[in-house]
Amino acid sequence: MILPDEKHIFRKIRDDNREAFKNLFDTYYASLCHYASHYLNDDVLSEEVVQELFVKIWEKRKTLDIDTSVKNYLFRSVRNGCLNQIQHDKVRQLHGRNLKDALMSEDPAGDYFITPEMILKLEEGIESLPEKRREIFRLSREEGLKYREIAEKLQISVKTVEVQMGLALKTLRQKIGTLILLIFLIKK
Amino acid sequence: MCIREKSLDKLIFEVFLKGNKGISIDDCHYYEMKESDHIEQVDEELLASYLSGEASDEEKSEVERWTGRSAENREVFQSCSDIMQKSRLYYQTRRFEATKAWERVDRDINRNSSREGVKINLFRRKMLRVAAIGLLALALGSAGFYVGWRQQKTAIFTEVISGEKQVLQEVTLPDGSVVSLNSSSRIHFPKQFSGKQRKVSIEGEAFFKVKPDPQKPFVISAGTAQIRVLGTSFNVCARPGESTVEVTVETGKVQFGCNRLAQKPCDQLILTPGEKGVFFTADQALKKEVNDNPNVNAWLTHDLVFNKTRLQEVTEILRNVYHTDIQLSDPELGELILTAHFNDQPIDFILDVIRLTFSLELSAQNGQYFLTAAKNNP
Repeated sequence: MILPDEKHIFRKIRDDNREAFKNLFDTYYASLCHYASHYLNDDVLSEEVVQELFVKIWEKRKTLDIDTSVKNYLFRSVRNGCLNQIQHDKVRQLHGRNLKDALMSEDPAGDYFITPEMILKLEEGIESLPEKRREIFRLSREEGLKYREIAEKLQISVKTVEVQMGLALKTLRQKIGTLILLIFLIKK
Repeated sequence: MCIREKSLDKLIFEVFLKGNKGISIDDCHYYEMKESDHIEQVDEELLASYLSGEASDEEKSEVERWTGRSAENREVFQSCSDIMQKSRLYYQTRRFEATKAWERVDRDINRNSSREGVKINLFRRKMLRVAAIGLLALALGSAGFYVGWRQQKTAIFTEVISGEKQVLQEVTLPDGSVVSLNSSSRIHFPKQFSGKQRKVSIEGEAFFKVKPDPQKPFVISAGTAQIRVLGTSFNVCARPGESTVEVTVETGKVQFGCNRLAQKPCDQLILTPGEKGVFFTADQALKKEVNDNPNVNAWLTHDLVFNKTRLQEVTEILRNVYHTDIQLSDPELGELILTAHFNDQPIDFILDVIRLTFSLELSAQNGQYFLTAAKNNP
C-alpha cells in the first residue's frame, strides 16, 4: 500500500473520488483516534470526533483549500475537534487550561502517525518473534511496563527481560531497518 | 580489568574511555584489531534498555558516545528509536478499527442531513452525562434499600442501594446485563440506554455480568475512574473511603482508566482474566497486577479458598462475606494456618470445620461467634 499522495489526494477527493477518500480514511483513522483519545480519555468520543471530521471533509470537498501537508492538516483538525469537545464540556473548568496547553505544544503528526506499511512490517516482524519474546515485547510496548514489572509479572529475571528485549529489537531491526531508511531517503 | 569478556562494541568504549590516560598493551591489541576490520557490532540489548528508559547513567553515556562516533551508528540508533516508538503506536492504535468506522462514515456521507444527525447525538450524550453527574451528587446517603425513579430533563434514572448487611444478588439493567451489589453499595443507571454507550456509575463493590454488545460499549464510572467493556464479567471495588478502585476480571477484556472528571488525562489499561487493575484516586495513577486473591468474588459466590491463610485473615474474610462478627479469644489463635475450600457453605458449617481442625471451642452470643482454645487440649 502506498501513502496517499500529498498533492493529488485532495484533487481526487474534490472530483468525488470515493476510493481516494477511503484510502485517506484507512491510512489515518487509527492514528488520529489514538491521538484524540490521549486528550479526551474516551475511545468512543475520540472515534466520533475523527469520524465527524471525515464526514465534514467530504461535505466540504469542493471548497476545501489545504495549504499544509495532508498529515498536518488532519492532525490539526482533530486537535481542534478535541478542543471543541473540551470547551463544550462542563468538565472544562477542572482541567481545560492544562489540556489546552498540552494540545498546543504537540507535534502530533510526528508522534502519533504510523503508516500502513509500517503497521504491516511491524506486524510481520512481531509475529515472527518466539511467543515468550513477543509477550515481553508487547508488555513493554503496549502497556508501557518497566522491565522490573514485566519480570515480576512473568516470574522471570530482569536480566532475561533485558536480553529478550534486545533480541526482539534485533529481529525487528533486521526486518524493518531498511524500510525506515527508505522512507528517510525519500523524505530527503 | 578483564576486558575480554565484554562484547566487542563495549570493548571499544573501554578503550575510548582510557584515551587520554594511556592504553595498556592488552587493550591496544584489541583496539587495533577493531580498527583494521571496521566492523562495529550493534548492542541491541543496550539500545533497547536506553530507548525503554531503563538504562543507567553510565549506560546512557555509553550509548550517546557510540551514537556520536559515526553516521552509520546514528542511523542505526535512529532506526532502533523508530522501531521502539512505532511499535508502541502499532499496539496502541490496534483498538481502532478503520473498517467498521468506515461503514458509519460512508453511511453518513450518503445521507444529506448527516451533519445534523451527528451533532444531535453528541449533544444528547453530553446532556445525559451532565444529568448523571448531577444526580449522583444529589444521591442520599441513607442505608437500607430502595429503588427510586427520578425524573430529569432528558432521562429517567434508577438508583439501587444495598443495605449495610445485604448483598443484592441480581439487579438487572435495561440491556439485560446483571449486576450483583455487595453491602453498602449503590448503582445508578438510566431507564434506557440510549446513546452510543451503556453508562452506569457505582459506589462500593459490585460484580458485573455484561451482556455482549460490541456496538454499544458498557461504561462504568466510579469517582474519577472509568471501566469500559464490550461484554464480560468482572468485579469492581470502589469504596468511597478507600484510596483505590480495583477491578478484577473473570472473563473477557476490560479497559480501565480515568474518566473525564479526572484532573488530567491518564493511560488506559487493558485487563484480561486473572488480572487486577488498581486505580489510585489521589493521583490517578494506574497499576496492573496479577490477581493473587482467590476470594475476590466470594462476597457473591460464597466460594472460599484458603491456602495457608492465617486464621486472623480467615475470620476477617468471613466477617466480610457473611456479615457476621467472629472473634478469636486469643491473638495467638490468629496465627494458626488454614488450608481449605468451601463451596457455598453456611457460616456455621465453616466455623465448625475450623473448630474441628484446630480443636477449638465455638460459642455464639448475640449474633457474635467466639472461637476459643479448648481448655482440655491434650
